Amino acid sequence: MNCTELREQLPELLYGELSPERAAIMQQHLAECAACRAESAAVQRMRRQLDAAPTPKVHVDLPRLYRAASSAQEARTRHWRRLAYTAGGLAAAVFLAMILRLEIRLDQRQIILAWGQTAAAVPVPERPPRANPPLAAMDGAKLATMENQIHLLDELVHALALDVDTRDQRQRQEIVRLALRLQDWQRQTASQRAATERDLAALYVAQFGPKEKGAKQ
Amino acid sequence: MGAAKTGRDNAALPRSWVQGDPTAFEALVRFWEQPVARFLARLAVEADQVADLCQEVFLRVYLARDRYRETGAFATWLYRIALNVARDSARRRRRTPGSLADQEPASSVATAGAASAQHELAEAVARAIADLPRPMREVLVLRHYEGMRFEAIARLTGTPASTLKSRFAAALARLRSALQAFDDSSEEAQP
Repeated sequence: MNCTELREQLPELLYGELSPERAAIMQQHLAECAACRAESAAVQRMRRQLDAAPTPKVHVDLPRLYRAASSAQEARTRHWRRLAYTAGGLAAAVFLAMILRLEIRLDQRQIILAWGQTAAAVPVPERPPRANPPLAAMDGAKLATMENQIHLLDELVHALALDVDTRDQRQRQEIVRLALRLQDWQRQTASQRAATERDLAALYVAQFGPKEKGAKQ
Repeated sequence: MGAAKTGRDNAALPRSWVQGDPTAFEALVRFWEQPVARFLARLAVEADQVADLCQEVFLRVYLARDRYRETGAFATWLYRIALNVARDSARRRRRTPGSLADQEPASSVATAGAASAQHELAEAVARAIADLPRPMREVLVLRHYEGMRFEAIARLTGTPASTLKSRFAAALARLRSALQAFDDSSEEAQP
């Protein structure tokens, strides 16, 4: 082993990251090389200097943490509820459109809204051919496919609503649990305060004797 | 001494917490709040933000209970969250040098002169670490202060261990250069 190799791996040696065999080889070189020994000593001094960095003192506020967690869980519940309502609204709109055989199309600067039987086309010169036929003209197979899709959408909406209810119930239980934990904290604090006041009163009596009613100070 | 260095990763507490024991969570917080605060401070988070970010770390831990898997060490999972919180904070704020007003030096010294020198050294170390590029700073803090081995840091950061070792060696070299004045003065003090 030469000095360059040793100095490249010196941090690993000093931090115990090398295999015993490799470490032994490096220790052998250190025993024979004064320059590498001096280098090793300098790195170890610097390690001790690094430990001079200040250490902050922190105390996590658990009641505040529980309140923040409760707020976050309420926000999640509201998010899932909004998502479910949006999906339900979209599914209902699609379902309504299918039931009423609603047709909405743009046709040369006109918005045409028709339901039931297909409305007569407004006579506009050079009307482009429609890409999709009106719903009323679809054959039974396609209609059955669309009804299956509507049914699936309906099931999805119900599943989402059930999921929201389940999450809602779970979140409420969690909120109740957090509230009970907070009350427990408050009771403990009140109990400790009362005990401290009793101890102080006892110490006062022990030191100065009981107060007499109407006694002048 | 980092908690990981002493190997005190109590597997029973995280398991109890995941099963719904609130006292287990509180015990975990009390055990890990100082190591996490130290970790955040040494990642050059502003001193007045350490307490708030520490609070944020444990809030994320609490909310992520359902996602915690006992396959890995709790410490690794916790430090991953702390690292993400520190990175998010750095992205939100422009880094400013922290003050030592709310912090204590690692060792107390009897005389006023020695205390002043120790304070100077502590400030110099804090600044030298803060001046390191973020990737070097992270591996330095995790290896030297938190006692994580390079393989564990590799799993935590998703960076190969060989890359981490190179960064660590480079970080030590930079720090040695930055703290050279203090090393010279300590050498002169020796008989």
